[in-house]
Amino acid sequence: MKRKYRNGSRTIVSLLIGLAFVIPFYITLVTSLDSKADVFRFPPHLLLDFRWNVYVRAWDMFRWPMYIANTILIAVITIAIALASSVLAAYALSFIKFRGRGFVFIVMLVVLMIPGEAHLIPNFVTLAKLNLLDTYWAQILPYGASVFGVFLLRQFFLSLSKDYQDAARIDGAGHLRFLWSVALPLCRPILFTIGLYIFIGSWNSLMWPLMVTQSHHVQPVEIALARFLQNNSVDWRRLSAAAVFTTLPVILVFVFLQKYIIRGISRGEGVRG
Amino acid sequence: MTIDSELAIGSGDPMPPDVARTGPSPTGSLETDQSRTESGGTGLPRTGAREADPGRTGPPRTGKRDTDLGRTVPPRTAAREADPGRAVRMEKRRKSLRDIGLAVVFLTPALVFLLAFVYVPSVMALVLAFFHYKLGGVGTTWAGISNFTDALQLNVFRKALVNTFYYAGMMVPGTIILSVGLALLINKATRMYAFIRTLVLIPYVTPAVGTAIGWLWIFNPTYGLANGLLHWLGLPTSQWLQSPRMAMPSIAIYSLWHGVGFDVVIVMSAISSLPQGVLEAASVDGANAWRRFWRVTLPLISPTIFFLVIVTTIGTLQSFSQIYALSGASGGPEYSTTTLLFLIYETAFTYNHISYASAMAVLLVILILAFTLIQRWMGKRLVFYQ
Repeated sequence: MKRKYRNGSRTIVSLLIGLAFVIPFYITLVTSLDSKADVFRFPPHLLLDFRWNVYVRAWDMFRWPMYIANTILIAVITIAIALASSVLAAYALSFIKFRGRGFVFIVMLVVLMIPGEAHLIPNFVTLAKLNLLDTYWAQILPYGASVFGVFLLRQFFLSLSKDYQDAARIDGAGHLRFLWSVALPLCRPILFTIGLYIFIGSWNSLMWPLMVTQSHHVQPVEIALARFLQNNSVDWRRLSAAAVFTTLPVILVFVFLQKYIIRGISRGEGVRG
Repeated sequence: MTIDSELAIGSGDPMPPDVARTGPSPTGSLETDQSRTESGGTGLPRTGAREADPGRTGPPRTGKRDTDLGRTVPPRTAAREADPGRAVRMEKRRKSLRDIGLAVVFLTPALVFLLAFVYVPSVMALVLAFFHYKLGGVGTTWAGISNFTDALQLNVFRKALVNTFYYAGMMVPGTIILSVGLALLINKATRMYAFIRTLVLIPYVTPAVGTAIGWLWIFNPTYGLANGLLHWLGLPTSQWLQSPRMAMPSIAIYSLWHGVGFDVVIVMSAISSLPQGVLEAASVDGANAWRRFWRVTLPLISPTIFFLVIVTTIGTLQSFSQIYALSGASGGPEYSTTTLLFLIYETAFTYNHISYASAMAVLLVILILAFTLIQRWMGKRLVFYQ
């Protein structure tokens, strides 16, 4: 009885702490919906009003649809390229036997130990030389290979029962056939996890797009929001509204697909790598 | 050897039970993958590979013996035609050549990307640091180590170095204490477990600028919730991000909120994979909860904590987004929140001192590697492995 009671109070405390983690989102929401007079009130006002007109104004001030489309476009192309390159590499490193396979894998893993700062500036110079600065490609190509993805996929492939491969071989399937019809369908959940991480990474990326882009028409939504913040630093309601509608998509994606994100965390960190 | 341990850190530590909790895992058991990876290097157990593909480790025994004998007795040509193993071997060799070709084709895309955007640039960064180089400028001249010495003599650089350490000094203990505490607490709250975990993890996936707006408002000295709370408790209020003294701690508060969900999930999966028997035994022996935590739980999860210490240190040494977002792209009042990476960004892209920034980046990379090595060295002495 006492134990049960203790567990109950623990649940309540945990729940309160959990809710404390979403307070900043709530504050943003309250601020965006406040009336002009209520925003500047102390102590702060904590109940929701429903004045959506600020949202309409904030939405109309910037070309948000274009920035969101940019973000999604960059994410989708990055996901396609990174998944393709990772699947092929992971397949070669787990199903094809050749000399030096272990060595190649280690060479790839070394990437995880090189801090991103090491290649930051030279990558900028390379893209400048290739005349790719200020394009979508500048935001895509550096993420064309995901070592995290290769690692995750290889681990998965190696854990597959050998029977699959033997059965496929007896049926006369070569590597390509096996990859396409057996390995790829089986690893769909892992592909989903990797893709999701790349998507969230793209949605949240700030430093690299800041470095390699200047024209608004190729910039992602996070950069646009940073500019919006600098231009409108006095109108808190408008800022908060913009924060809500640019952050909400990624929160929704997380809430519905968190299973895949937690899987990625439990297998080793890998945001945009 | 370092790579093996890196592997163990990156993959093995965050434990599979959590995967089991979140749904059926298609990958099967992680432990087997791990042991395979460590034992073989190539991933497959040696014997398995040999059995599966005899052609690679040499022709089958019987075939070889045939040829050896055949060389002395019948004429060679006859032996060749008579040797049934030969056709099989040729076939095998052709297949293995084809396999190598396929492997090369499969590995090329990933390796080309890594070569172009990781391996070559990492070396180039080191080279750039020894030259005077300007983007769009004419020619490049040798600078020796002047970029490094200049950077080290620069006040802002020193300030950034101190700030970076200060920030890491708040973040690493903060992350560990908070994540272990929250994980222990939430773990026992069985009923709402998944829901609370979701709440704690939401900030982790959100963008820095988007969430910074809410926090800028919370930290607002006049109307913000932070001062509202202090005021209500009767404590002295603060200027938060606008005060040189409090700006960095404010960013650390934000960053803890933003990132700790990740660490909580990792600690929770470590806790849920603890051997229940040991804890029960301790309980039976009369150890109270506090003692059980210090003597049993903590040693058992120490590899995970060690992993978090390394990851958090590296992460905080590389922080940029939160600084940029919360300090309004300025690096704080009186450079109070200018970290190394922020300074590198500014030096390279605001002032176009590419090689100067490269020298700073090299120093930062050396710092990160040195920290990782020191921590690993300490970890060997402090961490308890089962």
